[in-house]
Amino acid sequence: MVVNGPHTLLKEGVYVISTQISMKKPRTFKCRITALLLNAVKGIEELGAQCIPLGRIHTSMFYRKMIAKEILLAGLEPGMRILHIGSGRLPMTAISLAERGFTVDAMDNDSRSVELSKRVISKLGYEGQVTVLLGDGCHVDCSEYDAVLLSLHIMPKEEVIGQVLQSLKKEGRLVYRNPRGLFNYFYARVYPRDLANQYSYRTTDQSLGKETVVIHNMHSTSSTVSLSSMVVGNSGTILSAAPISQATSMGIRPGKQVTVQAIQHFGGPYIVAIDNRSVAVPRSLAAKIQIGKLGDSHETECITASS
Amino acid sequence: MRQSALQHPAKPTILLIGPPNVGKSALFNQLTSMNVSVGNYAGTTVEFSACDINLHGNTVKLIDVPGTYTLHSANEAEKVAVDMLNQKPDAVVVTLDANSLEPSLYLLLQILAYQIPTMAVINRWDLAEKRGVSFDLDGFSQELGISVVPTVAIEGEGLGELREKLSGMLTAPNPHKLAHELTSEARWIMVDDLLARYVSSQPSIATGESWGAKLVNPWPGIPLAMLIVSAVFAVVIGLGMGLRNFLLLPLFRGVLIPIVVGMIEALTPTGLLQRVLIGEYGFLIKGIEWPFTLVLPYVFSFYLALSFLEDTGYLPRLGVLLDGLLQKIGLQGSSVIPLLLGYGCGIPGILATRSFGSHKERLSVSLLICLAVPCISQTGAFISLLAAHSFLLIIATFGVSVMALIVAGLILDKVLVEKKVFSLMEIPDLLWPKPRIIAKKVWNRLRNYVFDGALPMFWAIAAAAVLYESGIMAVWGNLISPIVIGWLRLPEAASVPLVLGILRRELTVLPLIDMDLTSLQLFTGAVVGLFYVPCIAMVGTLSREFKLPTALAILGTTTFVAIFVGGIVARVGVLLHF
Repeated sequence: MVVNGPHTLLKEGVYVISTQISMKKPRTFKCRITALLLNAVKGIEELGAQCIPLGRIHTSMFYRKMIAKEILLAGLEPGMRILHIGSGRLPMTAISLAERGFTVDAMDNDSRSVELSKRVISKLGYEGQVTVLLGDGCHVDCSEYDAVLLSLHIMPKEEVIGQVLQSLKKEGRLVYRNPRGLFNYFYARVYPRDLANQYSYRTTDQSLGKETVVIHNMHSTSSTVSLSSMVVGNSGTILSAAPISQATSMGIRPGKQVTVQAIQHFGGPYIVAIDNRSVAVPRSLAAKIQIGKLGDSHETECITASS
Repeated sequence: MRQSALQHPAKPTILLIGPPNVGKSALFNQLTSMNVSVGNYAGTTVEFSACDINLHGNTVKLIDVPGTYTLHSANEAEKVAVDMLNQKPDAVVVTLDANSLEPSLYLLLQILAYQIPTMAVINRWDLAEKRGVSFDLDGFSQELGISVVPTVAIEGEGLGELREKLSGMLTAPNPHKLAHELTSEARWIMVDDLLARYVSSQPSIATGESWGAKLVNPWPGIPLAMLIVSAVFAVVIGLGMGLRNFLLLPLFRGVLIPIVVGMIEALTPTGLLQRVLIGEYGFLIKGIEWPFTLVLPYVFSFYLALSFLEDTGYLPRLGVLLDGLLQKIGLQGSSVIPLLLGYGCGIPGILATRSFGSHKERLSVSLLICLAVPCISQTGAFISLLAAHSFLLIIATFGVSVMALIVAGLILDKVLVEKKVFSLMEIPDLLWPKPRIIAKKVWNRLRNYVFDGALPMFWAIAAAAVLYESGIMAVWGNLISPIVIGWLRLPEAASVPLVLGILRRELTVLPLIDMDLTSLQLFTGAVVGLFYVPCIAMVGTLSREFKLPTALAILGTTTFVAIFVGGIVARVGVLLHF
């Protein structure tokens, strides 16, 4: 299970990039920054792992909200078994999940990370709920798990995702994180639409340059959400809508692509873009509009640009 | 043709019909050289306007129908459209929106089922061309068997062709091919099919629409909305005061009125007649000074700001941002437009409620306009009355107005119960307004004000002058002095404006200017004026829209609230040693 073969690098890859690979390839700027970022993350995590109060602050600052959003988006329920790949030196995702009553296996292919993580878990008293494993995402078998979470910086991302999807059980979910904005330049981005067609997916923006993608291992038609549970930037195709003549004329009818542009405060309406129009939809009506395959607007843009 | 000529012995009728906010009224104005109000939001036209036009020697009657998405009559404005189609006009011109063909086409298919000679206009052609949409007009027109003309109504493009085809259609009505009824699903399928075959590049999804999208997002939309509303407030008051102090006041007080006084003094003997003309309530002085120096500047500045807001398409965005809060008092985002119009004049405000889907909302918004939204004439009067004492009093008066809106809204929400209807709102593209059109709109409003506002005000002041100088007013003052002196703690003379206010809303306030009142009395007067009865014209509109008993109930309610709250203000003010 330990480093062997060309694709066995998860977080260990950082060191490889900055040492061995860099000898063969020219040291590009991008490469250096990525290494720098990853090293910085490792450093901060190490600090957190050594000094638990710092780790707690780190967790609550960066992870708690993100995890809460992911749980909601993926429809995870307490009691489910979850695998987290690329848990790092401070297993924040695993801890946040354990806090909410999930049973988590945290996996990393770096032995030092595994060692440090074990120490943190036992200090915090989550030994019953969180198991830290040394292992590699490219060869993992996830058939035992209800959901698999991948960290933002795992490498090689596409391969790990492929392996997870292949071994994921029916009704299982894959949750992975994509970079957003400036981070796109440094971390790999895997578009959910590039993966096999039978998966339905949802995405949501997270703070600090991240985006979460949830892939449901089932046929897309069986996975629907109502418009009222979408977030800004989401888009999808209307499957069914309350047949109100005014709504139908404004484009709210089956088969239409909608993108959420804004959600008003104080129970105000959803602003959605349909074709090239914007329509304000009251929340009560939004709850009665079912949306199929979800994506986010960035991708829709990509499609239009490329076609 | 002969048959229809028998049915309509006078002249052929042509309906101009289409979805909201596609520019029907702009087209109508161009064809008729009339000035129907236009704006960049759905529901600008709530009442039909008709005008005779000359089509190659034949006189025809053209009717501008309120915008309707479908013929299912979801609101009052749409019912008007259906009624008019049922009256079998001689021809229909369906206005389609080049930027959003889908709903336009659906409506077109529905109208074709009426078997009336029909032609189509595709308006806002320029915007669609800019977006790279191309349309196979010939194929489309052949398939449906109707003529299709592309236009840019506000620029007047394509109107020649429209006139030609229209007159051709009237002389030789060409039966179109699609006369049968369809189910609505089948109709939508047909729309999609037509679009797929005749429109080459469907516009892409406008996700990156920069400012239009930003303004409707809570961040930065809400801070920007505060900024925009404050700016509008500042422009209306600042520009109005500037015009008054530096242009109109010097002109009228310094030049025109002295001339009038000089002439009257030379022509009439001293006595009752001269006093009526140029005395304390001399209507030649007040009747000229009040409408033109106190109110006119604000009419100008308000409608300048409002026209700008209307034409950019900002109003629906403001409505959407406020929707959540307005729901707490039983209103909706769409109520913003009638309320804002009401700050200009209550009548267009009340008429604009016709585009609402629920009767309850119509009634609440109309009552709120009558009760707590001062029209621009009244606002001008408040500013003149209070600014000399303290600017804070103006702010306080508007504060009372907003608070009253909230309280009244809450009460109405509890009292009037009705099943909630879904009301969707289309958010138009943000457009940069054309100065020519803004200038035209402001000019029309000013002209309307002079004829429909200033002239009645002049005669009302004349009537007051006669009553006052003849001593009748003193008798009336005695009669209601318990209320005026005892309850409101105002001087007896203040009973005069309570009568005048029935004629024109600002007259509840203006006479107080010359009465030498304390700050508290001024504020009491302003508050009474704010809530006091809607003017006669508004009562007329109310009784037309809601039947007479409702209008009278509103009249009673506002009078009671005005007197009641006024007395409380007077007492609380004393307690606070104000």
